[in-house]
Amino acid sequence: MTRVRNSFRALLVLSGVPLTALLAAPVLADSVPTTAYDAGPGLTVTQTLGLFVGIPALVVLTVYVLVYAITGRRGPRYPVGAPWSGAAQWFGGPDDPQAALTHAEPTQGGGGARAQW
Amino acid sequence: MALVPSGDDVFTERERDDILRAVKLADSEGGLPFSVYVGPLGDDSRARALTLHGGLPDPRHGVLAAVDPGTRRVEVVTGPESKRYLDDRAATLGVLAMTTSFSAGDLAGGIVNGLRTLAEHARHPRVLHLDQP
Repeated sequence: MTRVRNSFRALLVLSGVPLTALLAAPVLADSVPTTAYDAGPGLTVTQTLGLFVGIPALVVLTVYVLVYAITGRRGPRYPVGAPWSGAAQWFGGPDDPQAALTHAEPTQGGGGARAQW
Repeated sequence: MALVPSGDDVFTERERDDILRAVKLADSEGGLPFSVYVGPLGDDSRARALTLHGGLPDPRHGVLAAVDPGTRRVEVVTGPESKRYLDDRAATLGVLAMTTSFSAGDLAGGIVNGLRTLAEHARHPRVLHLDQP
């Protein structure tokens, strides 16, 4: 009983596929214009290189230039341990450090810590 | 020696902003006016740091971290008042946080880390009439 049912199913599927293709073929042939598959004349070597090498290279170059234009403007960095040449910098210090230090007395009775690295 | 708050090529604009932000954050978090000096400290770095600390607007409450990258020295100075909130042990921890980054060549990062550590430890002691409900 099961064998008969399976055979029937197989027959249905095997006959259905070519039948569908057979029925659909003329419809496809009519609806799609033949010119849609016309690739036209092939690209020359120069055009191919420009398309597949030139354009990607241009994109890479643009990104490179943008990145270095933004981050590459820094001058040489001060290496820690080199003799200090520039002006001292005071963050959160007095508004006029020069004037403040002329009257400054060394702090007495404070604490703190020190280290050398 | 000109003492100007800004304008050298030691720090980038971003690093300078980071340090300024860290100073402000430490001020609000630690409740003490923090200050960072980066520049030469001379032969007697402690004496120079104490003088710089004396030049702060409020030396009694102020905390100064003085860094001399040329001679690789760090000095943290606390005033007579700020010493109560930021003891020498906490100051040593802050110095340690700084020198760890300095050893790796990260000057700005060390300052930011050090300030963060100092501010975390600058806790005001509990006061009976303020902290008790």
